[in-house]
Amino acid sequence: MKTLKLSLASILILLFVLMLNISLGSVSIPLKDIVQAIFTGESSTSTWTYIVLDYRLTKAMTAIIVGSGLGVSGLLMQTFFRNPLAGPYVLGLSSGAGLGVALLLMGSGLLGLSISNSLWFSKTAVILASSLGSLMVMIAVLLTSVKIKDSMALLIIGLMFASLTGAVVNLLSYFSASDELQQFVFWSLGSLGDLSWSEVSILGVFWFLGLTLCLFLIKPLDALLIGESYAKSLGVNIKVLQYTTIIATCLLTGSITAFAGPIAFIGLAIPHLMRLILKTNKHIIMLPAVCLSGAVVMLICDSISQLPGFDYTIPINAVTSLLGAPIVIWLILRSRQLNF
Amino acid sequence: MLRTLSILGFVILIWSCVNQPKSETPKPIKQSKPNAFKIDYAKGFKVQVFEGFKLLTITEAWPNADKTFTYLLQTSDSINLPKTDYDYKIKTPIKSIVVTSTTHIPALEALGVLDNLVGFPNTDYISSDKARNLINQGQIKNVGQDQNLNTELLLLLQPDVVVSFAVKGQNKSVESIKKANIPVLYNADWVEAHPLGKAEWIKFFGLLFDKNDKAQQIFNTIKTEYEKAKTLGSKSQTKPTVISGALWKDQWYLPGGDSWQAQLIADANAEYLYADTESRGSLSLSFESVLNDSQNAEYWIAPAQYTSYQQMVDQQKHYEKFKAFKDKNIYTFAKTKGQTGGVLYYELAPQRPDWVLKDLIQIFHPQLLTNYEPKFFKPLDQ
Amino acid sequence: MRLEAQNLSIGYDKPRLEVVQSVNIKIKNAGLTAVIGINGSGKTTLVKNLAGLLNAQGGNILLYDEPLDSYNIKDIAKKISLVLTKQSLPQHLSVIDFVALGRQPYTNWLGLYEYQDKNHIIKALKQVELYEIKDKACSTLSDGQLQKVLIARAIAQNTPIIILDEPTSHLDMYHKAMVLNLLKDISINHDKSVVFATHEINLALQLCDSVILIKNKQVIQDTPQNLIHSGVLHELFPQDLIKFDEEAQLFKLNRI
Repeated sequence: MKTLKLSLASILILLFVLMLNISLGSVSIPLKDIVQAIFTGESSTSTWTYIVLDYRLTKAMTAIIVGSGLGVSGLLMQTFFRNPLAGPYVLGLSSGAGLGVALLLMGSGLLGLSISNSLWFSKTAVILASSLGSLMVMIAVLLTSVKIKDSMALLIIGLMFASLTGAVVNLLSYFSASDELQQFVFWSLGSLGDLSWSEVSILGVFWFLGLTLCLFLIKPLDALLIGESYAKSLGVNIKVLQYTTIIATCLLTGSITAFAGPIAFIGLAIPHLMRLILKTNKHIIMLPAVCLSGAVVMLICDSISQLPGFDYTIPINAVTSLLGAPIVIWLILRSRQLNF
Repeated sequence: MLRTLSILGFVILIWSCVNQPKSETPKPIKQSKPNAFKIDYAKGFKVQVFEGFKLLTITEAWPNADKTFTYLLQTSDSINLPKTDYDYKIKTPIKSIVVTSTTHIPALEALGVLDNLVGFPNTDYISSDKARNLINQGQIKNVGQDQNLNTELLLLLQPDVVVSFAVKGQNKSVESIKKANIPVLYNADWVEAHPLGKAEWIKFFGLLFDKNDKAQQIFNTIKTEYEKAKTLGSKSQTKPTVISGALWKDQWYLPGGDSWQAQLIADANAEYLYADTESRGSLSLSFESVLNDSQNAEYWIAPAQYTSYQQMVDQQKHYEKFKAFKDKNIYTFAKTKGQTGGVLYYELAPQRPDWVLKDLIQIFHPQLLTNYEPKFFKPLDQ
Repeated sequence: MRLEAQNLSIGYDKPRLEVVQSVNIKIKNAGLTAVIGINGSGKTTLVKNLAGLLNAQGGNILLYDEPLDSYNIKDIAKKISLVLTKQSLPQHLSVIDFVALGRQPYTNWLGLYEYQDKNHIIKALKQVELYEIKDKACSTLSDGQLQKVLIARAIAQNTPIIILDEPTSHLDMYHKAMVLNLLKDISINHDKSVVFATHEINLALQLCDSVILIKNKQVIQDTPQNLIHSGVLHELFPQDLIKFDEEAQLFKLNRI
């Protein structure tokens, strides 16, 4: 019954934070109009209705998907590599995505394609470029994991992919015109509010697939907590576990990075936060806990980045990093060890 | 011991008297006439005329610059000023020049000195037909990429002067050119907030090529045309509302209230909805507030790089909510390009604000200019 | 025959090194079997091979008369459980959670425990006398307690064969005796074949039903009594410091 009470409480918190997120923004919209818009599709002005339903609500849904998806990816990576510093990008996914987008935004200019075309690229092209980049990294990592048995080696290879793609991106940045570079920088700052309902739905499908795969990982990941040898002796097929974990992470992280850009810190910090609060390692508790808390934290970060009341906003990555880094540091200091 | 010291001291005394630095006392200088060089609108440079030479001072090389740059321009080598008074000594008229912004090209063309242009970074951006011919003939060499000038190429060209735009802090490639003893002069036309102020920078090039009268005359023509257009515009009974810029992700980028684009809109007798923001550059605002404040703007000019309504709505469905979108009242300069894809507006508009103003007046008050072919702004494609 | 090795040769692949050759071992019934030998002789390697963790270089291992590699990994988990040397465990994992992991081969895809799983877990905890501290975190236990927990998990897995690698290496003498008694008790009263690699030759000779001796890359399996009287133990170690006393049936220090 304790589980039931806890679950209800967390869902209520999520709903509360969701309402808060939708109510806050650059434009002050009265609460009654917000509620009216959500439940009846109409409010005092059509502008407000549009802002609430087609901008804030889509942004909130994106935030929920991003927060929960990255949190879960981080949890998977931390258990799988038995490393507290692992996060969703440790396989090199955001670097691959960055490479894809850099090639699109900056590389096409260098290759001599008409400069005026390269100055403005369609959103779909960026999403595809990012997905292809992540996909490329995923395939490379999977192929490597076929050959390499040791998880630690896989971690290092992931980091090396990240370095490699990072180097190519730096090279492209050096040679590209300032406009294109600026666009790439903006992409890499992340953005939650850019998606239409159809785009959110597509993202949602990948998110759902990724999370479904995670259900099958709850049991073997628990076994993996006590070591690969023990896991094997308990009947866990390590290779299948490896592939499934990598694919689940790529589905979640790759799709999120494609649609919202790379979002820092959430994947790393949320699992640690939950571990310290709930004092458990069991995945049957951690998985839903990280999902919910990731969503809640992301919604809060988004509200902060909107700077309600001001006309200006700050990039989401700035908020997650500024919030995330001190929290992780505080957690370590408090517990004297960042065990896992 | 004492004897040695006193001899030493005596020797030093004699030595210092003998080794006087040459030409230390500057000749008494007086300005030929105060305000001999008239500048009407530009705030970023000033010129002092002396007997035999001029001092050109760039007062605002970048927004709110705390450093000025002074160039000593003279026709012969005869003037000697303390080196601390100026950054470079230039013998005019110069023979060869390298410029780094397309906004410099129209001034050179109007003054008839395009033949003296020997290099430009990323020549594809240049739209001017005359310049393109020279590029194709190999007269104007490609010397690098944006802010990274190729030092070797430049040294090979040995221009008399390189005209660059300054940024706060050091520009590394510029430093290496300076070390090679090639003067680097800063052109700050991009900082000017008034459209005529930008055009007035033709006088900067006029000074370098000793074509001051021609520069003055060209500027006066532009000024007169501008004022004529402005008067014409003020005759209209209507003052429509205008927005500009577009979304990237969920940030809207548009010109600030103190920018030259805002000034142009005001001079075209229209109301720019962000006219009371204080920025000479561009602002980035949240999508929400722009939608809330500008949804009903009647006209929309310069929506970033979009060239068609379809393109806009594919990128972002939010645009459909704007009145200017629904009524198809969006005008862009992005459709007007040179042979190699350079946007003409970026190159020519600062030099010819009178043409821009006329374009805008025709958009906002079509009844006032009926037989006019717009130079920059065209309606968006379907 | 529960577990059998036929002409097994074990070692490492990269670089290729044969540690022990022509291993023939038979584990027929319940009982306590020790694997002994000098440092580096291949005890751990042999034991891991028998458990299916490492691949042999030659020969066969038969589990209930079927080749080990014909088995589904989950089915092996229902027949063989493993206890390895001490390692770092996740910070928050409690004793009961750890022992519960032993039930994984039997639970459903989500890992939910049913009534009989809970039964096995509680029984295992009680058998090692750790039921009272079931909610304590494993990382806060003493070495002796932790070793008992590791064994409890293997007990909860309810397998006819339990394989251990150096279960007493880091324990004080009392706890060494305690663990070995526990293993003896399991082998007698719960019908389990317990095979463990160990350095505790003296204790093994006293307690075990059968001993596997690795010497000079060869393996001899026999009862302790036979091994003692065969004289093979005399040459196991260099005789300058310790000597095997056949009468006392112990290794003793040489008086200087």
